[in-house]
Amino acid sequence: MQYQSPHLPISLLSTALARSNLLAISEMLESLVKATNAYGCILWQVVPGANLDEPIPTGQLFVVAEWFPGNKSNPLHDMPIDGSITGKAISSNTLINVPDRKANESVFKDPFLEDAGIHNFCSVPIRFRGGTRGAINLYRTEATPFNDEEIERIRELASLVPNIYKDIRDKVSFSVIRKINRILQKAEIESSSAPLTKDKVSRVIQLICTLVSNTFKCVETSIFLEDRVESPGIYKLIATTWPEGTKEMKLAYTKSKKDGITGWILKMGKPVTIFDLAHYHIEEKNIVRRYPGMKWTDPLNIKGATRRARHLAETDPLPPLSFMAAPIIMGKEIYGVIRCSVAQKGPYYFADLALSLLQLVAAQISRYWSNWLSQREKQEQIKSWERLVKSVSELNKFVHEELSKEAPNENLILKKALDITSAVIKGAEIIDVRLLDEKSNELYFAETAGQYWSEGKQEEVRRRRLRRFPLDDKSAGAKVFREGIVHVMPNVKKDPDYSGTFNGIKRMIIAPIQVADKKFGVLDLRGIGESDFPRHAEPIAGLLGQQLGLYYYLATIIRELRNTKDDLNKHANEEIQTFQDLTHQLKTPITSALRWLEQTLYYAKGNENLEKRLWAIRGLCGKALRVSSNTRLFADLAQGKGLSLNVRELKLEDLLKLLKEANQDIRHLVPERRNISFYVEEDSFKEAYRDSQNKQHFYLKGLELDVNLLEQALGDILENAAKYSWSGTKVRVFGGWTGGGRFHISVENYGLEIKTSEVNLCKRRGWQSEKAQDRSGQGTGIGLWIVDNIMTSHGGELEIKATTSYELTQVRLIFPLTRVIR
Amino acid sequence: MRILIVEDDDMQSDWLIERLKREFRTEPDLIRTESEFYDCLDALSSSPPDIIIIDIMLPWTEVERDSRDAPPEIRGKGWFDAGLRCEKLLHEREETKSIPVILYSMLEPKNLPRDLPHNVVFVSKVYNIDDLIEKIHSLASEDA
Repeated sequence: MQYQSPHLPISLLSTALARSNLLAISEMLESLVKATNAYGCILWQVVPGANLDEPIPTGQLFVVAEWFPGNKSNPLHDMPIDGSITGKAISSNTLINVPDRKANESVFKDPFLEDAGIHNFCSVPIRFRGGTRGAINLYRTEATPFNDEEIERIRELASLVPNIYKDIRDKVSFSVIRKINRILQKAEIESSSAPLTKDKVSRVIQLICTLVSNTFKCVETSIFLEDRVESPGIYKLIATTWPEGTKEMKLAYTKSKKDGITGWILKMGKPVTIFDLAHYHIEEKNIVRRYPGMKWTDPLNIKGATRRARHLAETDPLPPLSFMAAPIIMGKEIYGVIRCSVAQKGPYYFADLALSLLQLVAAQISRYWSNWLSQREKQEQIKSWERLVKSVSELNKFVHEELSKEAPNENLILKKALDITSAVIKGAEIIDVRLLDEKSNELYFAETAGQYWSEGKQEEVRRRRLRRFPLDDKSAGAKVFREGIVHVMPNVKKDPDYSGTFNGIKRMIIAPIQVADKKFGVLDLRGIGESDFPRHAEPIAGLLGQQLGLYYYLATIIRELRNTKDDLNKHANEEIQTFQDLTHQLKTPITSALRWLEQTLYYAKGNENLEKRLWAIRGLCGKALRVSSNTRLFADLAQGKGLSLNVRELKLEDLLKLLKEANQDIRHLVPERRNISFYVEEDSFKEAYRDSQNKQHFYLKGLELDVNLLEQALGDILENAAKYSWSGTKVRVFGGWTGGGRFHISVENYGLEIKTSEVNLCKRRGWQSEKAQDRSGQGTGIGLWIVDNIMTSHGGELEIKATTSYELTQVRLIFPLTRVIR
Repeated sequence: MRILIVEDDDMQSDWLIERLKREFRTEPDLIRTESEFYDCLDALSSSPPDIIIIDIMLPWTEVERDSRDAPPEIRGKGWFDAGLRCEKLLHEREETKSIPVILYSMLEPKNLPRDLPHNVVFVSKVYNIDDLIEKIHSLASEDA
């Protein structure tokens, strides 16, 4: 027999490192067989929980890996420690060489060994990394037993096995993780170009599931995950390698005790390995000691199912129905579970190293699933915000229409706002608005939404709706109202502020309804289902609360404005009546004074000084009369009334007389030192108009109008002309025909400029240019506004022509032909 | 006695001057606008009058081609309290601060500042002119 001793470790090592699957362990054993001229080899491991220190050791051994020529496999997958040579070698930690078949006949009763013609074997105890114990059994078909030198060699080689075994397992783990990373990277690239759907996510998880199943050569690998949005609290089957498909398989689990081992993992968030589910009930005590509270009743008849899956007859020995499972967990969040059962090749037991790998896989799945959940949550958030924006804009439109009404229905606005809240925030089954009752300083339910409001006995419903919350108590609603901050209660039972209006409420959000420091009430959202409120529920509730606050604020302002407007209208009408009455009272004595003045002037003729003063008084009385008339007209126009016209004929000579008198009155108001003269160009009124259409000439014979109003208009524009003329200039009054056949009376002066941009401003009520104000120091700015109204009420027009470069300003009273007597 | 009248309305200044001439046998001086008052300040400092009668609502200037625009801070609505600004200017100068001033206006007393100096009094134009004459006599005797 030739040993290749110097090369053996290297050969073993290179074999181990060349592979990245568990077959490498068998190949390592093949190297061992060849190095020791053996026929075959089995690597055994002690099942956790075994007791080797007892006089009669308890527990099982299982096959980690084996190598026999032609890839034959020993149907024996496990055996008790007690009564076996291997068990003895392990428990005594002594190499046992069995040189003679005849001496240990019982050992060779194993039909496989018998069929293979095994004559002798040696069992070498080993200790795996981590301390688990096991043994390497080398078998020979030749009669020659292992000699001492060979035994020494075997011992030497066996000492290398634990490290190489660990390296192989690590390499397998690394390879699996790397492959999963590649799957996830590929999925990530695909998801960047198209939205990630649940189908796509499930397909990726199925790939991982298959990879895990192939790695551990197990009959079943299944992955269950919770979709918190679609079915919170239910962990549904997302991927499986169960050969019978999903037939007879339990498709969903919960954290309930009834849901066996998988349910226990979901509840506890801890991994589980069980050597043989077939022995569960025998080993239950030990199992429950390791996994407190676990209960499993084998509802699917796992033995039968495994036989069917592996096409084994009733009499065929079954491999250990080994089981391992790990929670798919991130932090404290349990997303699901990945489980593997029944290895079809060694290692027949999912030992710690396998479970470690499964946990790594579970961590990768958890990251992927949580990414998808948050991605979908973000998409859902975006959709929610979009829905919110759309709904709020509809609500704004609705509010605008409602608030424009004489009597806006604020409850309709509330109802609409609650509908939006319910549509935008999933899981808010009970919604309401509590408003402040200012009299009692309490919050009361102003509007509610959701069927739960009407559930329960009639008396209970009534009491619920009528409940009130004093602002100074410690209820959460009162606190939110006082502090103006959204309050989230993920678990109302643990919140000391929850006041308990409903039974069965699990969570609640309360948002203040307020704008700045104006507080109106609170918006309540209550959830009764399993799933939490989405993360964006809090800001959305806050925003809706603010929006409602804004509506209430607007509604309050509009209500106050309406009241103020009504009051103002009432007061204004009263004031205007007072104005009218006062102006009437004023007008009467002034008119009498004027008449007396006219008489006195007659007697004063010849006394120049007295005459001058009387004319001045007459001018002042005229001004007072115009101011009084302007006040009355202002009152009429401010009330929205048109000017009522007292129309009569004004013959041309009367018109000229009226113009001259008006001129005279104004002249006496202007200080003599300013030397401004007034002139009525009589001839201009007498010129003919030629109607080119009818080829006719006609003359102005008079005007049909309200003479008092004409006097008022003329007085106003003449006074302006006098006030804003340069010293030493002339104010000219003339009449004539416009191009369109209308008649105009114009006042022209040289003085302060009216710019083109100011022409229309002049007609506005209350407008005065800064230059005019700085130079006249008086005036209300309503004169031209009233003149404009006087002309409009006659169907005519006030035309103001911007000042020319010669400093000439022209203001025209234009009358339509209907007012002209021809 | 030297009296200065600051009044823009000729109708009012005419009879006021006539009455004062008759009462005090002196020809009062007349200033018609706020800008004119500013221009006369130095002259007033060097030769202060015995009493100044100031109307409160005054234009910045008269309507003349060469009249200058009002300073931006009083442009537009400055005329409403021009007389008060004139009084303040007097008070700011050592030479003029003690000249007795009568604010003579159509305004209601409630529209005036409360913290007027002790030598500034208000007389309403609405009342008989005798009130004004009496006030001038009383201020003139105090001054003496």
